[in-house]
Amino acid sequence: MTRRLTPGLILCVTIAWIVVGFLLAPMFISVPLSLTPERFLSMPQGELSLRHYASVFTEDAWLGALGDSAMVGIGATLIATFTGGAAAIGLWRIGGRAARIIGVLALMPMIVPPIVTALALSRAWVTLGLFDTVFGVILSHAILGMPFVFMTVSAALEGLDPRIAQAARSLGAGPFRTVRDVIVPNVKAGLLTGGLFAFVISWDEIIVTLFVSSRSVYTLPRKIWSDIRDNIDPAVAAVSTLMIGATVIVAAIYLLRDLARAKPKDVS
Amino acid sequence: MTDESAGQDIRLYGLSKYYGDFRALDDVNLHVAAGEFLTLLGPSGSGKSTLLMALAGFVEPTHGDIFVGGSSITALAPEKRDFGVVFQGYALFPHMTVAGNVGYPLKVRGLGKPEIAAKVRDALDLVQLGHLATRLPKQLSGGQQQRVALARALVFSPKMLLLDEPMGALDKKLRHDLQLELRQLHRRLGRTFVNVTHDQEEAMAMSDRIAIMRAGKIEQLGAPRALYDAPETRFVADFLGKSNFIEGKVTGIDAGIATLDTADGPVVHALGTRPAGIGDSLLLALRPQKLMLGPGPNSRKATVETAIFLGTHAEVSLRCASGLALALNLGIENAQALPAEGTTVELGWDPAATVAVRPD
Amino acid sequence: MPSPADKTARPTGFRVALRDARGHLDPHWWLVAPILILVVCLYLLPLGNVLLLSVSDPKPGLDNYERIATASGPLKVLLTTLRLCAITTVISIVLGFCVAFAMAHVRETHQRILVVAVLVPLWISVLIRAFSWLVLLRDQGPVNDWLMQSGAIDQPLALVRNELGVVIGMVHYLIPYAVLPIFAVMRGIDQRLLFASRSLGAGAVTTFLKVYLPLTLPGVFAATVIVFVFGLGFYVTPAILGGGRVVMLAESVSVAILQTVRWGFGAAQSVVLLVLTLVLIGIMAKTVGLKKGFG
Repeated sequence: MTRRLTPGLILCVTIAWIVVGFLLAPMFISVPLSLTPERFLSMPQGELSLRHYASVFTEDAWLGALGDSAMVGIGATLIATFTGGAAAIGLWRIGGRAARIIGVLALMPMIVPPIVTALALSRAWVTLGLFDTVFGVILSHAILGMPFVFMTVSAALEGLDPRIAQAARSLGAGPFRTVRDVIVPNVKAGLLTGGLFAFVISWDEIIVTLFVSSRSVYTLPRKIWSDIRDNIDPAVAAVSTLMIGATVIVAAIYLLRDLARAKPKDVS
Repeated sequence: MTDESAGQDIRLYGLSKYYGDFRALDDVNLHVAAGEFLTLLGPSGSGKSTLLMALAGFVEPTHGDIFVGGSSITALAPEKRDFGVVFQGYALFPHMTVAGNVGYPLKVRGLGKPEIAAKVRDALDLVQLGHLATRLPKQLSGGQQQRVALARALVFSPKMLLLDEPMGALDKKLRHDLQLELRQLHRRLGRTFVNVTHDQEEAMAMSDRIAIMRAGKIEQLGAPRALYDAPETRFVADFLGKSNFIEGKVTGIDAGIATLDTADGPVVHALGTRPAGIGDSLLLALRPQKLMLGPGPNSRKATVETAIFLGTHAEVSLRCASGLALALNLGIENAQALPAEGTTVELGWDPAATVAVRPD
Repeated sequence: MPSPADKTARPTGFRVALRDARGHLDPHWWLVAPILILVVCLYLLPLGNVLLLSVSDPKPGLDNYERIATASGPLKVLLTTLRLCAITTVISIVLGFCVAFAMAHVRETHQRILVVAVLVPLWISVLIRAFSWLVLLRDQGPVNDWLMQSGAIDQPLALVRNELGVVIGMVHYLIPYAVLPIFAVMRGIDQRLLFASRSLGAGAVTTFLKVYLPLTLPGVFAATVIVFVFGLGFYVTPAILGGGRVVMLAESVSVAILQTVRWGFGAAQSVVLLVLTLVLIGIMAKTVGLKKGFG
């Protein structure tokens, strides 16, 4: 394939890198801000300090928020992965119109604006006695994360020969044993990716959380949200730096591995 | 591989499968003898795969019953049927090794590890793949994958083996070798084999009997030779090997030899076991290799349109005065003297060379 | 027990799909049961309740909808939302198209780096992104500092706590969603078509306008719908970068529920938001397919 450099392409590549700069650069503003020795949000003038990192890991409010977020995230990921994965596999085996309709319904929580979901769940959770409970927040986040698991597992199943399920049946395995022994091992990557999506969605979720919890469940995004709206504690910059750092490290590892794996193909 | 499972017979009664208005299977009745090698042969969409999948339990018949060894299995789940199935594309489990694939049916049946290992080794030796036990399916060639699928389908001593286009993905040379192997395997094991294919050569090479399927029905059932020599319908005569067709009206019958009036003049035809009366319209099928250059009991003049030498034989396309197209195959001994294209030649054939078939 | 009549029934419609010819329930439905409980009972029913609420609170009738369409405050919210969505969509799609075009036509390594660079922001919390823009763009922030020190301006520019700030924040969030569907379509375009066009004598510009651009339209359309729909539901970005002065639908709902406690009105605004979203997504699903859009 020819890749001639036309003026149009040069322009687009230039714009692309400007856009990438626009996408990535602003996020690094929190790095210097988080190192200020002052009590208020400011650029450090010479002296650097880790006091705001220390407060993230020592203050009860931040630790509690971290704990709540971790608990909710893990719970929501487990429920979303189980329900979304099982449904994707079940509908793949069933097929037909009913499966297609349910497949669209399963994507609804992803399509509906979060504020609408927030309002709906807030009312329902009050009725069911789940409002401001850990389980209520877990369930909300599971609903939001489930479509992503459903999508990634469905995508993984698309590449799978449906006859391997028939083969397992013909060899004596019942329908559920077939799912366990033959289907799940072949969509493991989809389940893991979907689970990761579900966790990140829960970890970042703020809108629905604001509407289904008040005092007893206080996740990290809620803590950040109220801090930004009140006085902007520099600890927010420290938390931002940590979260962005984690993302960038994961992305860098992924990119390096991807490029290393792609190398032999480039040569051939 | 004990005697009691050495083969069971299959009986299908009025088996039908409808998808809306489409009849994938239309009132199929069939008896497969114990230990028989039966091939379902037909073009795509003829219902042959649907029939096999109904036997395997993956297609629920709309009507009808399936009996195996005297008991109905129509309502039995696929995993309870105990049939070995070799799927189109083999359907090997991509995440398991060859040994894992072959051992899976034994694991499901709760056998102990040493017993599984021993049986897997036997099954892999049977298909000469013992040395590849630790490979993953994607590391194998198409032919090797097919043998693994075969070993996996046989390792648990199933009552019968169902094969869905088992050679579909293989090249011609390999296909031929595997056909012979499969045939030997069948003779050795003595189990009932039901094979599905659209390849007539494969069907002829391996089967005890062939069922030719068309539009959800069995068009004709019989031994390969009988089907080839005595097709009952135009479809069978044309699908299993090629045929020329000549239409005519019976004008006289004498000692089993009918005289027909056709567009290109009279034709004599040996009636054989298919009676006809004066005034009947008959459709005669004539194999291209039974047509000969030079005059015979039946004679025609025809123009050579193309003449192609193909190594083992030569194919000549001819056209008669009425416009009727005829194909003629010359054996290797005559192929050297191919008629030139555009010339007019004289052809002949024996009265016994033609078979009366039902038109479509 | 299945009756003989069942066996002759032709499989049509939903009921028969659940059961096979003999009336057995396909066991795989057990795998689907949890999601049905989660989505139908715990999600769609509550959504239906919102619909009900919008026509029953504080009193039965369409008063809440009338207020959205006529009262000046709510109407302004609706128009602000649509205007900001339109502006951000246009900017995001134009920039996204350029990025996707670059991605689709550079070498593989270069392409991978661009893809990851575009994907990384998706994994970073929308809160943190809004926070970053807030501190960057505020009056004492680095951007204004730098502009003032360089002598370009005397007074800090009002970059945030207004519509400009909201647009910047929204575009930043939405660009990846614009890039990905367009890129997916561009990658699937058969390069030979372009060569064919060139070999037939069409110039580079003609080929781009007459052959390439029409081929990318499904991706551009899907991206437009997704970006616009996401924009409609924006809550965090306007709330933080708008500083209370730019109120979009989602924040208006939140105010109605959490502050003024007018459930019916908030529900009605939600329904408007929901209907807009579903109609747009529905059109996209019908024309280019759901899958393409969410690539």
